[in-house]
Amino acid sequence: MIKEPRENLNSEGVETEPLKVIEGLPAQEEELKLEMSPEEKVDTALERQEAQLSFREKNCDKKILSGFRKWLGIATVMGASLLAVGCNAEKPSSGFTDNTHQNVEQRVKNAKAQIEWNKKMKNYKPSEETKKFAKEMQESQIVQPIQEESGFIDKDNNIERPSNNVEQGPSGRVMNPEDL
Amino acid sequence: MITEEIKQNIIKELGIESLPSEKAEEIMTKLEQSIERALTLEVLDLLTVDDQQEFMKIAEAENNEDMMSFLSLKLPNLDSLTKAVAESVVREFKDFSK
Repeated sequence: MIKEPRENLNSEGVETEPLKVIEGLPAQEEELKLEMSPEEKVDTALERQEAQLSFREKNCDKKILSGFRKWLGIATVMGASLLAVGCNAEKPSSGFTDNTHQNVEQRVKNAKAQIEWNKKMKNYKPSEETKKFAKEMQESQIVQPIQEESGFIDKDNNIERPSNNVEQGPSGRVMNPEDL
Repeated sequence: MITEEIKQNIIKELGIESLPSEKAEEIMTKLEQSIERALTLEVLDLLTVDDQQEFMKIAEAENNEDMMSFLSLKLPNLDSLTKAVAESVVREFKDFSK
């Protein structure tokens, strides 16, 4: 039997059984969400976030809040999107896509970029600083040989190479063109 | 600036691809504002009342350089805080809308 409001109360005003309207409600939050459309779900999510933020903002000075909010946007991402930061959406795309048309477009774009790069590099003249840096980088990748297996003994100069117990480190030297 | 590619990445990350584009735009705008608000609250938590007042004085003068100096002095890890807050708001949205 369906009870109307107040009909479920005894003479002392105490509930004797639940109202039908309560029995019909979903028992769990998850059950409630299952009945929602995707749009309702996102609206609910936004409302919950809004409520949380409003609650926290109630304890703050409104003038200070708006002043900080204005400047933090400028200071943090210099006008870019905070949401893009939150979603890691600014990571470069690999260019891969399942769409054939987009794939072709991407390959053409890559090829054009490569041509432009080649043109630029054709006329490229490295500065002294760049040359020095490149030389150091090359040298740091030449690893000192070890005596056992790949190493050797420089008998002429009476130099023994370290055994493979020794940690290898960069020891190479790239010749200057004028030394050759 | 948000390029179309970034926008699509955001929509995909938020899991709102199935929604109409107007709705997706609305969600993105609201989330952007939520991140700004959450970041502001976190920053205010980290600053003393005196710092907050000093900041307001600089803000009224609208001097960008002074503002940046103040923020980098008082909040040297503002970049990582921004990223953490932004990621947290996005994660919360995704959890709430599951």
